[in-house]
Amino acid sequence: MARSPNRVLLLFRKDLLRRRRSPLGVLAMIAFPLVFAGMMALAFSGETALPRARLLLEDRDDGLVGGFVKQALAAEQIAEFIELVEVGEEGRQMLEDDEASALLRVPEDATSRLLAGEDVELELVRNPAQSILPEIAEQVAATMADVMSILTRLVRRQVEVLDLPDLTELESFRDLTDQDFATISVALRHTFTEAGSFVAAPPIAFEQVTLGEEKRDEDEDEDEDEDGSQTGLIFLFVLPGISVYALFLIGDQMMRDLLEEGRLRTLQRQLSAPVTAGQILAAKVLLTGVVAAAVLLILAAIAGFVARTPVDPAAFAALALALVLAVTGFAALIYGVARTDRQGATISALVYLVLAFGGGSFVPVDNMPAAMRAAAPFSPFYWGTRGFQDLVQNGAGLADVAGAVGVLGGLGLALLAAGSVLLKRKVLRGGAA
Amino acid sequence: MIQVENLSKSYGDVHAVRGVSFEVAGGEIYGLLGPNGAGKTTTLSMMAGLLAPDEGRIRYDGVDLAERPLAVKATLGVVPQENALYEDLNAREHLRLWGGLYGLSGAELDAAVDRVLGEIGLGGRAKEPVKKYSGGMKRRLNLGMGLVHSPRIVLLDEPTTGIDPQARINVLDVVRGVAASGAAVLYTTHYLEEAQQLCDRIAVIDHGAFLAEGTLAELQDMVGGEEVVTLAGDFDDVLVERLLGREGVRLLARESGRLVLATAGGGGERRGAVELLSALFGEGVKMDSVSIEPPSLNSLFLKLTGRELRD
Repeated sequence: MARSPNRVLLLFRKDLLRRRRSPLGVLAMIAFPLVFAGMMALAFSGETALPRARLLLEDRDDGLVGGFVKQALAAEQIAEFIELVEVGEEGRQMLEDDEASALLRVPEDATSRLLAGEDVELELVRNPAQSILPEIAEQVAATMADVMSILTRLVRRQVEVLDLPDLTELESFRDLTDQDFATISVALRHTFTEAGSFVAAPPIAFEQVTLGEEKRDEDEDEDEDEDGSQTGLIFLFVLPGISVYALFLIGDQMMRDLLEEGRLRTLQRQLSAPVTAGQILAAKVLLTGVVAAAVLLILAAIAGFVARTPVDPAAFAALALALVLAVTGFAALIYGVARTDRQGATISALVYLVLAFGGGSFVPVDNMPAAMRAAAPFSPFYWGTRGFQDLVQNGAGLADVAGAVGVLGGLGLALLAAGSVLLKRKVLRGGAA
Repeated sequence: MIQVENLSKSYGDVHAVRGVSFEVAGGEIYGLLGPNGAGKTTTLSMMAGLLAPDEGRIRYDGVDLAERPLAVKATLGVVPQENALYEDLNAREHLRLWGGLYGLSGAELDAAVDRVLGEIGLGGRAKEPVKKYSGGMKRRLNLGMGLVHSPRIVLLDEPTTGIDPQARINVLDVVRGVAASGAAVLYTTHYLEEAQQLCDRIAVIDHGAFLAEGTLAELQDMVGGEEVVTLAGDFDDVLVERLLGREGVRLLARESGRLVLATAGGGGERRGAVELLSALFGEGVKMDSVSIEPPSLNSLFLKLTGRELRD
């Protein structure tokens, strides 16, 4: 039987050639994890910028209340939704020209009335030409008004405790002495500290906003880097699980071909030549292994490129071999049991979906209920996903992936042995005319 | 070269092949003639080593197939009834693959592939994928794959089924060429004309058993010069009894609306059949149709089974 290896290689080359001529199935399996992981990364990385409402502030008060409003709207949390623009009388016209979403007016005597214990009304004029953004501005302004109401009550109590001149009778703040200002300042600071930074951002935050466009640009660049890094992280987090799933589907495609050949009668024709069932099976196993390894190599290379961390070649080779063994073993067993290629495809689709879900290919194992977490290690997808993640995310070495390699390799060999016995019988039965 | 002894195969209660025995010498084309389901393909599958017989032995050049299957298979060229081709591969790739599986390589393989491409008339389209081929081209490639390694024994299972007359002529020419080179050829068919034109010896098979075997002349002699007259219409028992009472008339089959009779005294003049029909017309018997089959394989098959081959 000196020619046996040649016949296996001839049959393997034949199948490889067929795959090259009809590469869609394999290409789809390469694209699937990349597209899926990419979509997940984009969906959850927060790169999609929320629309910001442009809010015009017409401060007719130019006092304490106007200052509060400005400071509150410039706070970092609110600036994410609101772009604040201070305007004068031209604010109304700008709103009519659709240059903003809303105009917030602080009335002329707001501070005096507030300190006198009277209610103060802030006027918000919405831009009817816009729908969502004025709503955002209104919600923010309403929240701010609520906060200021609370703040006012706190401040009022402090002012009442202090022995200060009647503020309502003063014509201007200039009539206050330095000591009055110092007393008020200390009281307000004490109150603000108690109220926290949510009510009024600390002065240093104000400084950051007013540093100018240059500083803002730097911040934005940092944000973009952060977003990009976050996208990559999510991509790398999702890719291994989906890749392992795709690998099993690749194995399924390759092994299914054995039964398809039975249906097409090419299997019987091979058996009429001096070729054994074992050689035919060996060629299919070789094909499954080689294609799965090639797909894994491509996916790992892309993952490594995104991660920008070197992948340990020995660890990768060991994990790839073990994973390919598991993929081939599973496919051999399923198609050894299945009566037809279509039945095999149905069985494998169900089995792989359950194992992939349970093994954490789609949902992180840590997010699963305790019972599912305990069962996850019984799925080969768990070990494949974990090993792949360790390789591309953590730069794991051979020792780190030894557990995954051992489980996948051992399982793969056992399944391949059992599957081969069943498949060999099937091949021989397929030879029956 | 081919020796088949008492070959039998059953599927449950169905006896697909029952005690078939024959021999085929080198350079001879041996035809298995029978309708669909007669057991031809089962016999050939056992001879190709694809199916284990329940009983019997198959030997090629004295070597038992069951004892040395791979060694024997290496000497066989098998052409299955259905095209067993890969749609994405071209003719040259198919022939190279099959030549390789039979042990050819290098210049020997290249020469063999070119030779077969020429024989089957696909040299000009050897690089096109099979999916672009017509049915006839696929059939010819199917044939070529079984011949690329110049086998000494060729098993052909209805290789002309479903192809146009031109392609059929090409296939038959190739088969004649193979036999002329000294190979023993087993050829199964349900086409009478093919068997008559091509085969040196013919075995008529039905329900898994040989009904008759011999050269065309020997088989025609078995018909004994009788013609087969098939009458379609409603015939009552009295009329049938009266017809069978005539000299030289035998009943072959009687079914609803169909009566098959053998008439002696043909001798090329069809006198027996003419006399029978004259009598029927004379009595005013109404008939839907009448056919007269001269002594042939079909009339032999009719004589042996009461059915036509195409039934």
